[in-house]
Amino acid sequence: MKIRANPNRMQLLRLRRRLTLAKRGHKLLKDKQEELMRRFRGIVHAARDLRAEVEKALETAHRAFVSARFEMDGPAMAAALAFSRRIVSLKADREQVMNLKVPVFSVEFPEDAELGYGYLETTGDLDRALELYAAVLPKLMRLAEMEKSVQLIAAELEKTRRRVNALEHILVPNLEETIRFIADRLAELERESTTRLMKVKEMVRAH
Amino acid sequence: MSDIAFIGDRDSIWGFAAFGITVRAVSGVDEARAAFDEVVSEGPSIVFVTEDVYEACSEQIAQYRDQPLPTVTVLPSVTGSRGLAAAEIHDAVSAAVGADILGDGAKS
Repeated sequence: MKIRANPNRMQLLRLRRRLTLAKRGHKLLKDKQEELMRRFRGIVHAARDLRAEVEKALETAHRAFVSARFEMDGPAMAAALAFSRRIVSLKADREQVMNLKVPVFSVEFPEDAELGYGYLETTGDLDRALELYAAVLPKLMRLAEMEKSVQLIAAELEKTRRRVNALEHILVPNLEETIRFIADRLAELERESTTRLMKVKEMVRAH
Repeated sequence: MSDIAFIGDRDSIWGFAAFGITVRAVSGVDEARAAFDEVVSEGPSIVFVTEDVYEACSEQIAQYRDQPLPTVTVLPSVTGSRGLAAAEIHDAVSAAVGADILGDGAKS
């Protein structure tokens, strides 16, 4: 579709400048899209594998916890859990990926700290369940980080892809068509005035 | 308040309380929504939710999707995984690429 513009030299120059700008923007966005895609491909499969692994590990841990629940009543469980001394701490940072900020978590987890509850009131199942939970916890953080990155990069990729397509398939062809139209029109005007001049000259000579 | 929070039915999340993590046991949609708002307002970095809570709070969670923090992650509950998170990732991928590059992602 042609852009509405007066067919004169001023407009022609302006449109040409817009065209070079649009082409440069297109090239930059295309580069950005490629780089995002490269990162995306790297992370998305890893995220999916980690998700599968975590879900499996959690299932085992949940099963152990549920069997511990069968043997202990609510208050005893609450008391046991409240006394645990293995406190996990999390540091959240942000990493820059292109124009995006993705979270990076680092986990501090005391590996050797004892579970702080008494052994009399609790069952071995609880120990085992908490052991399994502890093993899966760092992976959960990693999973949260990766899935967030996947989401953020995916959203940005979609936006970039739309922009690239808009430039490539709409703005640039429109500008080119309009420039061609104006150039043709100017050439036509030129020819018109030449013939008019020739005609006038002829009339003057015949006089 | 820990930097990590869990929201879900009690048996799915209770065990994590042993590691000094904030756990919020909820049952029912309304309770889940209220708990989610309350937990997020305390500024955690990661919020883990079970699939039920994720479905109940999907509108609230969508607000945080474009921000790096807080990160909301779906986990399976004790009753097992329904593959919600995998479907979520799959959607993100097809939106980003404009094509299905993971193949079986939605079903597995």
